[in-house]
Amino acid sequence: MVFKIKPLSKVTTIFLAMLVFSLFYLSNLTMVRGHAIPDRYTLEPNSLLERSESLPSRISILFSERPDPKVSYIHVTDSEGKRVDNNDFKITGEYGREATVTVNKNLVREGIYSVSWSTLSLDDGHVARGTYVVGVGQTLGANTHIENVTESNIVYSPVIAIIKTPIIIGQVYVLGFVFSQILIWKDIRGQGVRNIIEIISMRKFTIFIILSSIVIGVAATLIPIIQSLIISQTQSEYMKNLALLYFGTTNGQVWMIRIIICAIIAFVAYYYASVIKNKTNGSSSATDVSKRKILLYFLLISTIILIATNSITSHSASVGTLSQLGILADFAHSVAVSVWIGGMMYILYVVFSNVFTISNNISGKVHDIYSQPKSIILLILSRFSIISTICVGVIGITGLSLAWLHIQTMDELVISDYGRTLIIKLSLVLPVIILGGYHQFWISKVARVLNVKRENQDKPESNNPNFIETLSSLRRTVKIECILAASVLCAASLLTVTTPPATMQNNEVIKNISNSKMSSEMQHEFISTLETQGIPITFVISPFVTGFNNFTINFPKENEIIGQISDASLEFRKNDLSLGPIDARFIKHNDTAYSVNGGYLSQPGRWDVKITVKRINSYDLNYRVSLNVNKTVDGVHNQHLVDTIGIPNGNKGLSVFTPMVIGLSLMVAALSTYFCITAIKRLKMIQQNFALES
Amino acid sequence: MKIKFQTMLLTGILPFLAGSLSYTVQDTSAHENRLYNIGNKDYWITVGSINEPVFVDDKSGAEVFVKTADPSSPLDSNANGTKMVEGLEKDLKFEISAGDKKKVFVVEPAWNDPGHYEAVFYPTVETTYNYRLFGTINNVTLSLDFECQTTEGEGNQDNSTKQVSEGVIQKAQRGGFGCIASRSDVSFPEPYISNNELVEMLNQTGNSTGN
Repeated sequence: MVFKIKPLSKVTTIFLAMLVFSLFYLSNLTMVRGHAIPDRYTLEPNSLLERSESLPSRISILFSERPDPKVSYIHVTDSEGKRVDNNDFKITGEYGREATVTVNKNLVREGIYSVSWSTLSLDDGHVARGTYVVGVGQTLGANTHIENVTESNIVYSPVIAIIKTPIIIGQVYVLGFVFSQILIWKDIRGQGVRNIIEIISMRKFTIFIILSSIVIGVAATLIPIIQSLIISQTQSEYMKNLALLYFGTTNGQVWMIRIIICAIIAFVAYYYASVIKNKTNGSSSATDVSKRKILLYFLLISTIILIATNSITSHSASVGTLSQLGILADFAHSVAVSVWIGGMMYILYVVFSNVFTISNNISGKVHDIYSQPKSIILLILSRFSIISTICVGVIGITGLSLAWLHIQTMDELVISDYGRTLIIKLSLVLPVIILGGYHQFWISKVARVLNVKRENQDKPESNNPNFIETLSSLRRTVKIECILAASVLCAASLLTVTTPPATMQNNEVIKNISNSKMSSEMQHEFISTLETQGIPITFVISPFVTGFNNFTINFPKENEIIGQISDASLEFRKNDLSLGPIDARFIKHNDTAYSVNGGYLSQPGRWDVKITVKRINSYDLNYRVSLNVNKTVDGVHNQHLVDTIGIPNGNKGLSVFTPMVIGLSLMVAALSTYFCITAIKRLKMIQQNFALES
Repeated sequence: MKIKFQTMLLTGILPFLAGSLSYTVQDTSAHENRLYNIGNKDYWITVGSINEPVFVDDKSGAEVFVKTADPSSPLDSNANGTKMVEGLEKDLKFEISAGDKKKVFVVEPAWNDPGHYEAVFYPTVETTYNYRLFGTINNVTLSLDFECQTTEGEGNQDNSTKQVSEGVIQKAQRGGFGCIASRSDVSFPEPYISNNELVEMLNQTGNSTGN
């Protein structure tokens, strides 16, 4: 057999070359050496220069290996992240290990400068990078407060909160309307008037339901659009992220469920209206009645599922092992709020608007006195008062539980953004409850009057000017109650986008210290207690603004489990990975206190800080904390607690609120029960008068 | 037999990609190089962790590269005259310590890489690890301590001479190797809980239910 050796084609040659090249790579993988890392500097890390003129025009670093000038760099940036070097990195000095970059002295002012370096070693191909910081100016140590600086961080949360508001209000409308439509007119059908009422109320009921479902759908669709806008930098990124947010995330699945449910609700409401229209045309039958009933219950279940989608993506779903309790409490809270506030809106927009029409239409079908608008309102309100009393009880208990889950200390309540928003929400809830109490009082008073009139067989007074005035006055107070309730919902939507103080970070406890000095000094200091392996430390940054700061850690005294500490160090990384790692070593003051001073937090923004405490014959203690550093003192106050307060996952302890929450919950339950029993008795009496009692 | 175009494509590209990927991963690794005079002969001993960067629960271990220094340029660890030293697997061991725990591991020669020895273990805690290399080289007993560095970008270069033990003199030191890192910083999308943390949680649960 003769083999003919054919010349290799061009493609085959390329593949074989790649194969050889790959094998060469693989064969060299096991070669290991060191990094090209700084050995000496012309400008030492953490230097503090008195004047801008003192900053050298050339900054050189001698690396341990030869950096590749094609990809290696030294960047010098100011506290706003702007480059002040001339982008002229070059290799200088002996053995190709020294690299230099010149500084544009015209751009140098007082402030903090970060020298970031990155090297690809020509000797072994390894990549290394790091950052160190120098300060220019005499005032750095005190405070680097810079006036008239536009903060580069844009807060997007309020935008999301604004978009979430119609979702929350919409679902309140839908559930409240559907629930009220089912329950408030219950048993009135026995009097032959239910059909009339349904026909009259149908138009507003369906319009509100359909509009609400459309608004919810649109708002839910807008959220990923805004989110994608926030996280994307280019148009292609935007589209990619948008597709991911809609179709590749859990929130995307939730969005899909919401859209489907909204479409179902709108369709079912429309179908419900058409069934009632058929009845108006005289084709009403027993089948239609049961169909309407089924449709209403279908709407009710759909809306409850819609609310559940909110609860499973709420803050309460992220409270560690208590997340199930959180979701349940949030769900019960949302349902009760929807039934209560949505029910009030139903009374305002559906009942009050149609009360005279209803009165005229049922006149002659019931006793005169009970076809009066006041009597109808009385019956509706007395029925609704039972529902609202139960709802307020549920809202109170679940609200307290949620506050207990998210807030641990009084400081967290008073100072954190979440706590403050919660206080605003509660402040708005209070007048709503007071107005609710006033309406209860009105019901009792009118019920007594009507009872007397009925016994005396008095004539109707629907044309009495005093009565019309009373009714419009009542409508006004219900309207005020609804407006206040809508404000509560706005505050609630703000809460959904505000980070609760209790958040988990890397399975380590990061709890804010209760400190009497907080009120004034905390604006300048970052104080937090970090804990790992059961050992807490107090971590203090002072002042807590960009610039040169003192970093201090304190161990609790007489803590035997700490053991003997051999070393303690800090590592800083800018969260967007633009700076760092920047390393610093603590200096020991005594057995429990270590500190270091330096300009490591050179730029505003979010920083990840890791504290490592080495111990002899024990494992290292690794503490992590994420914090937002601001330039201005004003900004510090708002960020301080949000960034430092945290609760470990699954390790929720008893907060200072625990006894208070238990006590208040019992009180709310007792009051709710009392008012509920009173309302039931009152309703019984009214229904007996209306001959509605079965 | 006709080799299909696609097969050739795969044959060429896959090893290339694998090589490039592994090369990229290796970019971030580092080891500690020391020049020793052991029994009047210069050796470069390089110690570090296998598969750096190493995260908790990764397969890793301690590894050592031993080569004789170039007599004409002993301070250059990459000089052409360096020569890998084979057959030390019977003479060297690693004692790994972390916290108050210590364990001795035998070293195995790495496949197809003369002078390279490995002691595989799975680091289970984020802490400082100390690799003590002990045994005999050139018939001289030695015990060398190498400690990982918790801070990145930190290294050292030391050309000073110091007596380590009888017959062992350290003449130079370059670089360092990183400690085992926590996966919590790089886990995505859900936070990673190490096996050790899980065990601690289970113990806590057991204690609390026992009470």
